[in-house]
Amino acid sequence: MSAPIRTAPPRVSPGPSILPGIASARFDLRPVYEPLIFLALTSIAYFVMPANMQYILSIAVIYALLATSLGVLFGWTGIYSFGHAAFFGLGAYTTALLKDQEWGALAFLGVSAVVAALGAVVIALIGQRLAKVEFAMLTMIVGQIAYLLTFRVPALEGDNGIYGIPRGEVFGISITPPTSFWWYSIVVIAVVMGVLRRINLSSFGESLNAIRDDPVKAAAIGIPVRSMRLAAFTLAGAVAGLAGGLFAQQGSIVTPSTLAFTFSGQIIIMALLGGMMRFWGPAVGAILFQFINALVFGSSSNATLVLGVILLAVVLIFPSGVLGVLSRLAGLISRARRAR
Amino acid sequence: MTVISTLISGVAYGVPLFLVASGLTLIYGVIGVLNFAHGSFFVVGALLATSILGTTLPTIPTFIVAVLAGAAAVALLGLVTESTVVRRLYRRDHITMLLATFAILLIVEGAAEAIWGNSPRSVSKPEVLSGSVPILGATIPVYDLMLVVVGALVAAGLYLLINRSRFGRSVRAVAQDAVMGEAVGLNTKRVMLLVFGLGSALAGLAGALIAPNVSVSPSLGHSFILQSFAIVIIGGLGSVTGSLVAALVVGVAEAFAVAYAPYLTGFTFYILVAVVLLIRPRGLLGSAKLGRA
Repeated sequence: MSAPIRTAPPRVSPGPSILPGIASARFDLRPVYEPLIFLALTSIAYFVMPANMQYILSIAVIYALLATSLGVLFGWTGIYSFGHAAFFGLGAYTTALLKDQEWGALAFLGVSAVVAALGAVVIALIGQRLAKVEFAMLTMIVGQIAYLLTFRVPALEGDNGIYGIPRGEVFGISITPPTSFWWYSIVVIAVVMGVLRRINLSSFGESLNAIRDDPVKAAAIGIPVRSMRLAAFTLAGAVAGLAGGLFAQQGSIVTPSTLAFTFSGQIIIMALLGGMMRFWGPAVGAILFQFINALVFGSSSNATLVLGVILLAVVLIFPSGVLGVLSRLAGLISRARRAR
Repeated sequence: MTVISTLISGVAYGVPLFLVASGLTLIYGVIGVLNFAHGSFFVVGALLATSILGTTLPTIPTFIVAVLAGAAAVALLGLVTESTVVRRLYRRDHITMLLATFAILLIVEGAAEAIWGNSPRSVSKPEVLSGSVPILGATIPVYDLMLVVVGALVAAGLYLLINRSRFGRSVRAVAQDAVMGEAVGLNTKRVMLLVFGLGSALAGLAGALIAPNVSVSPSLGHSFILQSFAIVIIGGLGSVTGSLVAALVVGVAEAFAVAYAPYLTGFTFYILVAVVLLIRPRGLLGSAKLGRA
């Protein structure tokens, strides 16, 4: 990485601190308390829910991490990827293929993240010289290649998928029971979210925002645009791979659908629904999306149609997503208060 | 399988791809919209054709009606899409456009599922087109020959329309500079609408033509849209000639893969894309017109 660059605050600020006065510019506690709030809220929700909803939530928080990794590309850096499911699937299949190893559960996640990161580096290097739209198409095509490979490579078991993936142990404690797995996964997710938030608020994160807002200007003030984009793509791939590993452990089965083109589209819809331009937007969107999907349309045969209508509504009417709408409402309320 | 018959079947395989990709690349070149929904338009054309052809052995007139109806209905779908959704997004950024057209893809596909159901549908060809003829010692399916002829006609028609007609001149003008076109009195809105309709019609035509050769289901669009994106990248965004060259190259490569290297079946596209992107990021015939960002 290059020397840290102080850029002007980006157009989309990281958002106001929830606890004013605690977070100063030099000692920002947001990467610590925001993930803790996330952990607390989701865990409280988890333990008051009926079992069938617990199952939905335990997958939804994994998707929250996945959607946040896509936010690194779309929201932070302005890189469009329509094949993000490929990295998720790569991570999931890595954990699945290593199912006979006697490692700790965390080791699988680490390997999944590294493998997906390597995949991301390769794609980013191939697509380095491409313009935005062409790069988006390339990611889509690569995603499709990965999807086809699951049917062509005998070890990947094609349509049946790989099952019987053990959850294993963390520091000698078994995480097979649902409650212990919940704690394991939510702590891992919160920690990774905290790390991502730290990166997002760092000068590196600000440089990515500068690249998103104007690559030419960013290059002019000395930001190494190409290597920064490469780094962002690799980071997003690694986090998506880690989420994939978690997903494999959670469901103990991995099928090609984790890599499907439609799933890539769903990740984008999740992130957009919450708001791509805010750090917590994709995570909120993913959890919302999972519950909408399961509770409202789970029984409907027209899921595709409804999904399309939701996406079109978000794109045309609420481009800033749920969080964007909420913050605008909050702004209106506070202005109304001040007017009184 | 001889080299000749492989070559012909490759070209025949490339024709529907060319039809789909040329519409896609035409719309991109003129309007600057990469239409994700194009794949679903293609499927609507195919599904409509299966409905018209029915389960019996179709006659030639029925077949012609099916093909034209597929093209016309999808052209209408394109016109509606452009005037209701796409038009609102011209001033927004690329990503909004991609996402909106992706949403349209989902909506059209969902509607197709609701109308035609999810099960794959197969139809037969008219009797005249289902035989095969010996050419240069190889047996060539008549349907493949018909596809080659149709592809050549469409390619020639597109060339004449874009380069030799009044309408084509305004299309080229809008592609070059829409604002300037507006300033010198072109009705750019109408040009864009018609181009979107024309591109969609090509997708519908391809769908209807391919219907007798494959089993058609609403999700057929996914593989086809990806393949046509691959063609568009190889040929160069916005170049209709490029999409023709790329579709033929890819079709022939795929046919040779099927004949001589079965384990590569379905991958030739993607291998070609990776190779082309590494060597020429703008595609074989891509112009440097598009802004780098």
